[in-house]
Amino acid sequence: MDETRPGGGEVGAYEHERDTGARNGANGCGRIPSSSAQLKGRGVVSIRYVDQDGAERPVEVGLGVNLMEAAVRNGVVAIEGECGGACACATCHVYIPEAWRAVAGEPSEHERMMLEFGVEVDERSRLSCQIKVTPEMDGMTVLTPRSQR
Amino acid sequence: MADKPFIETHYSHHDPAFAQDPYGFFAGVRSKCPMGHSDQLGSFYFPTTYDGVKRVFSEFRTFTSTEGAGLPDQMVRLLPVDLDPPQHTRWRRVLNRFFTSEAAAEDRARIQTVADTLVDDFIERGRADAVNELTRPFLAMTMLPVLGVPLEDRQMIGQKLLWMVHNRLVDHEGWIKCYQEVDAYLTGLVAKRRLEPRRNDLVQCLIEEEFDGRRLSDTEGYQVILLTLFGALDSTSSAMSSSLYHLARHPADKQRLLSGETPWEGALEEFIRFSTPIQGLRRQVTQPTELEGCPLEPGVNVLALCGAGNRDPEKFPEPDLCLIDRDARDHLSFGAGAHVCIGRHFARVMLQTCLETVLRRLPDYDVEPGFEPDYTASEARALKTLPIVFTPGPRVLA
Repeated sequence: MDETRPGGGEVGAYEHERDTGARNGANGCGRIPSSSAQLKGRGVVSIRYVDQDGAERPVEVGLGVNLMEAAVRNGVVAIEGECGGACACATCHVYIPEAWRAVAGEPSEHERMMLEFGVEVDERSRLSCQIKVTPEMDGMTVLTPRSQR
Repeated sequence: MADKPFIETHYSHHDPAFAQDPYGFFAGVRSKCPMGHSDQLGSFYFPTTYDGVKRVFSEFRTFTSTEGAGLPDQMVRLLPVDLDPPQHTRWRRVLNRFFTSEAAAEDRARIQTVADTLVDDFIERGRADAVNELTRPFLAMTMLPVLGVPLEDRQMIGQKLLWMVHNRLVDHEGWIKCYQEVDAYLTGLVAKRRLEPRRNDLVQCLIEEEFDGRRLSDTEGYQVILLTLFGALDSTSSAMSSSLYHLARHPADKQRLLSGETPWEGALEEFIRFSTPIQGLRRQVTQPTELEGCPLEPGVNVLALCGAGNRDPEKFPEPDLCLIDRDARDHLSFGAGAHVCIGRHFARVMLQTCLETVLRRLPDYDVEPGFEPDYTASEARALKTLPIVFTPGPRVLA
């Protein structure tokens, strides 16, 4: 039986593996901790999502979590986040009011390029997946657009 | 030489032997190293962790789609899956409106009729092959009418497409021939539509709207349609048959869904995670990078294995159990990033409709004694058959 085929036993039977000496990080083969895991338990801030009719939704967001993910997880339906936070679809478009612009930061060149696809984009526009929550954002207002399409 | 930051293997998603249990293989690699490499299909790397797979799907500037999403090459361009943002985004923005959750919800009644029609055809018999009499025709009967394929041609076209999904490596000549036949047929349909009254549908959009500043050629329109059909065939069908198999083997889960104790919404995501109909898609590295501790040079292929990411125990504890109460919303079965499955809202409606219809109309269905699951290889992993037995019931449609 060809032991490198499936059904040939545990993975130790796969060719070359014995030669590499690959075992639990001994050779740089270790698993890299995810950023979300590293940020767990470092506190939360309150973000106010406000829609175009003025309806407000406060959401507690963990530090390091992005504003798209926090919105989608908490049922803020005006934010879609189709691409899951890859800055590749522009369906998490939001407006950051002037007072919070400095705290939220400016869009990167790539984000500006993707904002081309947002609906009713103006100078306050950001893609919420590109804004990771910091302690300074506690109490920040995020305005959601009428539509993402 | 020692100290490679990956495990060397002979894995291929086209190999029927691996397709029977890819998860045991992925778990074996993952337990030793987050990165695997295969000398098959011209050589490729594959992360086995959730984070690694998601990163490949998400970082389109490092992991490009422009060389094609299939491994090996699909031989034909499929649009817009072979594009990167922002070009891809321009296409996707035009197409998205036909695939929204609202559009899928509005189609629910028609999809229910498809389910009832198919079940009617075998319900008086007391036995059926749930794959070839229900889940596979379900997709063809749902999607082909949308494209204007007349009733008498649906089975023929559906069979050809299904064959193409699984035989790209098995029969090269046959594949080219089949492709040309499907090309001629579907391009002919589009040409015919140009002469007919306008309708608000996908084909009309492909005919007359601008994509990235210009109208599509007949060939490009066909490439979109072909992708739509490939995406709609043994993918949703696989989730349906896998879920029916699970529910037959776990009657308690049947009861929890029927009683409402477990909401469909969450259960569907777990069924979709657990079945992972599309096992993996290819990206090519564009710039030097490191993935899960492994340096990668430009030009190498990476297979983003949805199936490996979905069974990462750090993301989904007890990953090899189908637990319909778990929160599986982050699964990678629809991919992630720019190319996240455009048909995912339809897939959910079809899957729920199929399962609800079977639970309602064939409440005591079970898998035939002695059944041994056998799965297709290729990008799409699906049960080849699922023989079921049940107490015969009445037809519901005229």
